[in-house]
Amino acid sequence: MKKAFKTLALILAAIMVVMSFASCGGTATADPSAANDTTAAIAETSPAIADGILTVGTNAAFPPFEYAGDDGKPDGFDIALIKLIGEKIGVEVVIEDLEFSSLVTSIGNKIDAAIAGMTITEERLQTVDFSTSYYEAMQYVIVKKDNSDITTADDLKGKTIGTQLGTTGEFLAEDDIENANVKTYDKAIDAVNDLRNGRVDAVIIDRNPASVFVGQYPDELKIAETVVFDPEEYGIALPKGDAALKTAVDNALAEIKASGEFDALVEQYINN
Amino acid sequence: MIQDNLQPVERVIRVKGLQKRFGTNHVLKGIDYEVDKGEKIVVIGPSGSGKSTFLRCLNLLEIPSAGEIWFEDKLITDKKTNVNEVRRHMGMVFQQFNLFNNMTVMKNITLAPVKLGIMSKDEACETALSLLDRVNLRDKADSYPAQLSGGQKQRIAIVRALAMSPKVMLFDEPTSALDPEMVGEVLEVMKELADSGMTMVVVTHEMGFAKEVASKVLFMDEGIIMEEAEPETFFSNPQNQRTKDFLSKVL
Amino acid sequence: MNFYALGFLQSDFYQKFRNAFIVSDRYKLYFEGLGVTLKITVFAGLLGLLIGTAVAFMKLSKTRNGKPTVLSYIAQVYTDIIRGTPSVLQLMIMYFVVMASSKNPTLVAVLSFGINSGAYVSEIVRAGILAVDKGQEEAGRSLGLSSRTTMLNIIIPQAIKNALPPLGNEFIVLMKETAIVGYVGMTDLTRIANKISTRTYEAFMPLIGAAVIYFIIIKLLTIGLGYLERRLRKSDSR
Repeated sequence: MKKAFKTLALILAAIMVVMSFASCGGTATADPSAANDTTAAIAETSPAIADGILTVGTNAAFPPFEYAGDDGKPDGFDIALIKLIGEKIGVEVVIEDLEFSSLVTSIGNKIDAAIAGMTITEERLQTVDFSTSYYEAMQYVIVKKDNSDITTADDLKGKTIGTQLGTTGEFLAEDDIENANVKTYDKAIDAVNDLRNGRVDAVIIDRNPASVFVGQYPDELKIAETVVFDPEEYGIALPKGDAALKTAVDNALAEIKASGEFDALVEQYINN
Repeated sequence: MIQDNLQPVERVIRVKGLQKRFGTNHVLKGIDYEVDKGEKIVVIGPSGSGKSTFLRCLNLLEIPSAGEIWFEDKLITDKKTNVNEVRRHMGMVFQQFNLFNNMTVMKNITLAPVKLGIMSKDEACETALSLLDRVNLRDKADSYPAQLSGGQKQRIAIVRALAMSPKVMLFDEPTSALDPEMVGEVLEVMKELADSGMTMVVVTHEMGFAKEVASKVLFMDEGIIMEEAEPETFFSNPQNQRTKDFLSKVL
Repeated sequence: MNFYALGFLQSDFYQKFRNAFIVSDRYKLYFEGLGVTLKITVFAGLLGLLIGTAVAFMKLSKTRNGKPTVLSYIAQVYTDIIRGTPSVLQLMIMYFVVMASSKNPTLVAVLSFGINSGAYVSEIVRAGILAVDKGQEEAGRSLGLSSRTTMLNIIIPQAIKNALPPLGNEFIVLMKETAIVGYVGMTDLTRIANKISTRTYEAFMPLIGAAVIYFIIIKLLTIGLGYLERRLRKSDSR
C-alpha cells in the first residue's frame, strides 16, 4: 500500500512538471511574412499582431456590449468597437467567443486581447495590461419587483446573490458583502432566471446588461436603484508588456472618440 | 419383490396425452405413461427424440401444450395447482449439475429445506452431513462448486435433491457432461439410491445402468414412446424396428 | 534555511501555488467543493442503483406467453431518452424547467444525475442477471423455491458479482460527470478550481489541483472496488 502511494505521488509529480513546461512554451509563433505595409510598424514590435490578425476574445452573453447576433456570431457595442480599432490599426480582427471567466488567462496563448465589458482592476492588472478606459460602468443590483427589504448595500449581507463567474459583480459580492452566499453562473441570464425562480435574492451585474434583463421582465424584476457601488472603468485587456500594441490600441481609441464614431456606436448599441 | 406384491400399487405419476410444442416444433406428440411407487424408469432414445422435454414436463420446468400430468392425486397441469408445492416432492438432477455457484456445498444442500421451512438450520445441516457421508463427500461441505470435480458436483447435486426427501427423483442425462473416469462414481450413487427403494425416472445413454437398475426401459423417438419393456426383454428381444436400429448403434 | 529552499520559495511556481492554495485559505474551498461533488455523487449513485435495478426488472419482465410487457416498453423508452441526450442538457432542463421552483439545487442535481445514472445502471444490472446461467434458476425452481426466493438468493448474488466491475465504472463516470453542476450555479470541485483561477488569473494550479484531487479519490475508489471484487470472487477460486 505504501509503495502504491509512493508510485502515485511520483506519477502526479511527473504530470505536474511536464504540464508546467507545456504551459510555458508554445506561444508567439507568428509569421512575419503575412504582415502588410500598414501594420508593419507595429508588427515589428508587437508579437501579438505580427501575423496581421488580432484575435480578440469575448463572452457573447453580456448585452448590449456583446451578445449572439442574429447569425449566431458575437455582436454588440464591444464587437463593433474592436473591429473599428482593428481597421484603424490595419489588422484583421477575429472574434473568439469564450467563457468570461477564462478570458484573462487565455490572453497570450489562445487570444491576443479581450473585449468583454471588462472592468479594469488591480488584480487583473497583475496578469494583463489594459487599454485606456472606453466606458464607465457600475454594478447594479436586480431584485424582484415586490422586494422591499434590499434598499442599501448593507441589506445584501447574508443574502443569496447570483453573479456571473469571474465578473466584478462576483468579486464585489464575495469580497465586500459579509456572509453573502454567492452563486456563480456561466451566463448572467441564468442568474436572472434563478432570481425569477426565487433561488437567489438579488443579482449583481453591470448597469447596462442589468437594464436589458429588467427590460425583458418588467413585471417581475426591478433595479434596486438605491443600492449604489463605486463606478468602474471598462478596458480592453491586452498581453502584459506588449507596449506597442497598447499604444496602437490607445491611439486608435482616441481617434475614434475624437471623430464622433464612438458616440455613434453608443447611440446605436447602448442608448437604442 | 414378494413384499412389493403384497402392497397395493401406488401410482406416483400419471401422464395422459402429453404434448409439447416449441413454436412450430412439435416435440412431444402424445405421451401416456404411469409410474408406480418404487419403479425405476430409464428413458433412452436418440437426441431430439423428446426424452429430456418429457422429463422436464414432469416437474413443469416445461409447460405442456396439451395433456394432463397427475402427481399422486393432484392434477399438476391445472393452473390452480401450486407448482412450488409439487416440485419440492420431485427431486431433479441436471446434466450440467447446476449447483449454486455462489454458495458452499453445505449452503447448496440446506438452502431449500430451510427457506421452505421444512427443517431448522441445524436439522438441515445434520441431514446434509449424513447425506454427504453417503456419497463420501463430507470433507467438501465448506467448498464452493468451482473447487469440485464434475463427478463430485453431480454427487452433491443428487444430495441436494435428496435433502428435500422427494417422493420421486428425475435424472436428466446425469452423466453426459462428465469425464469418462467420473461416470462410475455417479452411477454408483444412483444405484445405491435405486436399491434404497426410491422412485426414479432417468434419461440416460448409459445402457449398462439401464440393464442393471431399470424396472422398465422406455424407448422414445419422434416425440412418442416407441417401445416399453422390462430391461431383459428390451435389450434381448426388441420389437420395434427403430429400437433395433438404435440399439445396434449404441451397444 | 538553505539556499535552494529560498530559491524555491521565491520561484514563480511557488508563488502560483501559494495563490492557488494558500492565500486566503483557499485550500478550504477545494474541500468544500469536493464535499459538494461527493454529496451529489453518492446520493445520485444510490438513486441510480435503485432506479436502475427497478428498471432492469421492468425490462426483463415477460407476459405469460413470453412477450415483453408494457413495463418493459416504458423502461426501454426511458433508457433511450436518457442515453440519447447529453447529461448537461438533462441537468439544465431539470434545473431551469422541470424543477424551476425548487429552492434546493443539491436535490435537483441528485435527481438529475440519479435519473441519468439509472439508465446506465439498468443496462448493467440487466446484463448481469442475463449472464447468470439459466440452469441456476431451474435448479432453484426444481427444489420448490419460489421465483422470488430463487431471484433473491441465487440469481441476484451472482448477478451482483457480474455487475460490480461495470457498476464501479459507472460510479466513477458519474463522479466525473458531476463536474457540470457549475452550469446551474452550484459550487463543486471543478467550479471551485474555475472560480479560483478567475481570481488569480492563473489556470494551471487550480485546474491541476482539482484534477489531482479527483484522481486521488477515484484511485482510492478503484482500490476499494478491487478489494470488494476479489472478496466476491472468492467462490470462483479453485
